[in-house]
Formats: sequence, C-alpha cells, structure tokens
Amino acid sequence: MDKGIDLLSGKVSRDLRWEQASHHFRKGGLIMLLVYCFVCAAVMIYWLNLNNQIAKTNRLIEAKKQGITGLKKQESLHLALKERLFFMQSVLANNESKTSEVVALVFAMDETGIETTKIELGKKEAVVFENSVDNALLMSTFLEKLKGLDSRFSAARLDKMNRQDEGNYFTTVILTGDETNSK
Amino acid sequence: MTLTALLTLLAVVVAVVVVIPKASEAMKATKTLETDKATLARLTTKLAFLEGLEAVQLQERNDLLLSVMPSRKDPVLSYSTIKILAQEASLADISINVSPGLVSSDSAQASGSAQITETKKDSMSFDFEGAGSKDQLMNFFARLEAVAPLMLIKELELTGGSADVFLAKLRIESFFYDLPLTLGKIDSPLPALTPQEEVVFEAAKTYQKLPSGGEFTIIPQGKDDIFKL
Repeated sequence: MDKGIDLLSGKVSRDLRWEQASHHFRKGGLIMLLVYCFVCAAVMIYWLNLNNQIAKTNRLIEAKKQGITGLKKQESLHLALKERLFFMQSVLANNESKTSEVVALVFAMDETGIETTKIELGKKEAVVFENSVDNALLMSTFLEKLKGLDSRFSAARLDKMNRQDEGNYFTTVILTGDETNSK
Repeated sequence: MTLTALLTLLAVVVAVVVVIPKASEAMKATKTLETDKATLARLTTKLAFLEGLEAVQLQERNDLLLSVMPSRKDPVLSYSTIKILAQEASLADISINVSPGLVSSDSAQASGSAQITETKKDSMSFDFEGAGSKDQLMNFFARLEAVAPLMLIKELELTGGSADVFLAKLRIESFFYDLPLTLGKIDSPLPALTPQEEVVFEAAKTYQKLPSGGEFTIIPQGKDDIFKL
C-alpha cells in the first residue's frame, strides 16, 4: 500500500535552491564589481585632479616668487625701515621724558630767594635736586611749589632740610615715579 | 565560476598594484596641496603688499632714519655734534670724552658672524662737561635731544657755582643700528609698519640734522702725487 512512484523527489527541490543562490551570488558579485570599478575610477580621478591642482598651484607660486624677487629693493628697504624703527621705538620707550623738560621743571621752582644749587638725574631712577631757600616764608612757598610736581611725579620727597645760622634753608628733594622717565 | 574567480583575482591585483598606492599618494597630495595653497596665499599677500610700496618713498624714509640713527658706530659725528651744540650754547670749559670700543668695519664684519651680531645694534657713551648759565644749559639740553644723530642724556649732574653759573656733567648715549644683511625666506610674511612705529617715524622727522664738515676739516699734508716732483 505504501509503495508507489514518487515523481517529485527532494533532490529536484535542492537543485532549485542552489540555482537561486547562485543567481543571487552572481548578481551581487556584479554589483560589487561595479562598485569596485566605480571606487577605482574615483580614486584615480581624484589623484589626477589633485596632481593637476598641485601643478597649477606650483605654477602660480613660481609666478608670485618671480614677482617678489622683482620687488626685492622694496622689500629690503621696508625691512631696513621697520627694523630701525623697532629699535628706535625700544630706545625711545625707555627715555620718553626729555632731560631738558625735567631740568626746566626744577628750574621753574626758582624765584627770588629760592635757588636751585644742584640737580642729579638718571641715578637710581630718580631726580634729586638741592635748593637754597632764604627764609621760612619762602620755604612755605617752596613746599607749595613742590606739591605742584605731584601731577608729574608719583612722589616728591623732601629728603633733607637744614636751617642755617643766617636763617636760610638748604633742602634736598627726591622726585620718583615719573612714568615717562625710566632712565 | 572560473570567470568569477578570475575577476576577483584581477580586482585584488588591481587593488594592490594600482588603487592602494594611488589612494596613498592622493592622501599625501591632499596635504601637499593644502601646504602649497597656504604658501600661495602668503606669497599673494606679500606681493600685493610689496606692489603697494614705492621705492622712492621708502628710500627717502630710510635716508631720514639713517641720519637719525646711523648704521655704523660714528664717534666723530656724535662728538662733533655735541661740540657744535655746546659752542652754539656758549658753554665754557667744554670737555668731551668717549670710548668707542669696537668700531664696525667691513673687514671686521667679513671675519665672522659673531661680530656681525655684536655690531648689529649698540650705543656709545660720551662723558661731557661744560659750564654755563641755566638758560644756556637748558638750551644745550633741548638742542642735544632734538638733533640727529639720536642722542640721549642718560645721566646728569648740575652743580651750581658762583654768579648763576652751573657746571654740567653729562653721560650722553649715542645709538646706531646696522642694516639688515638678509631678507629672510621668500614666503615669510612682511608686516606693515605698526601705528607705534609710524609715531616713532613722525618723531624722527623732527630731529634736525646739523650741517657737517666744519668741525673736522682735513688739511692736506705732503704730496698728493708722489711721482710728481
């Protein structure tokens, strides 16, 4: 009862799956090959394009270099000017306050009865000056004038004051903190 | 099947022989191109800047600055300038001492780069003594700080004497700056003058140049032509 002819054997079914898989594999392989070719072509085109751009840039660089070489005189003159100005700037930056101005400022305190007897500049970054003042009344005037130097110097220190037998005074004043005078 | 295997093998060979080396080269070329473009940009900027400069104007500016700050240590020029100004201010008992030290010369510069560096920028000190009234001395100081070559009073000692006469002892500093020997790399940037440097240049324009030649006249002695009887 169980015996008969089996026309649809399992073997036939297995061949069909193999055929389908093979078809998909070929199709996938073709797509991968196309993608691969595309990538290869893209790499080559990119490489060629870069080389072209480099060559073009180098040509431009050479042209610019020739242009700059042709203007060598301007370049050397500009460099000389700039370096010299830079050095002068550093020199003048440390000596912004002119000595003549400071001396004039000290001498401006003189009047009848008040005489500057000595001025020292540049030592210990201070201005030291000595005065002879005839009497106490003029001493008061002198001290008022000294206060007026506050606008220029951060400190005006009366270092010494000696009263002589004749009634006159000898003073020593130290001015410090002149921002424009850092000698 | 055989064709597929052949194509795969071909693809691997092409990848190893051509694609991978070219991809590597392309990566290097990308960096090279970036560097070249940066260089080109620098050169373009520099060239445009240089094209905007006028040689005649630059030469005039350099000449002016050279008179204010000479390129060589010139003790004679500074000495004569100080002496002329002291005489103009009618100062008495004038005394000027200077120790110039190494005086730059062409032969000295050719002997080694160390000496070139040493003489690139420097200063000389002059010890000055003179006597005069307040007005005379103030006039002298003001003139000294306003003439070319640039000189600065670094130290000053004024001592009052009799009859409103002061004895002045000064240490005067005179400066010089050698010309640049090289231009540097061609693609190195060339900065424009800063506003501070423009201010310094405007200040340099105010320095007056004294007429020279009067102080040290060369008196010819002996024969000019030794072959002539």
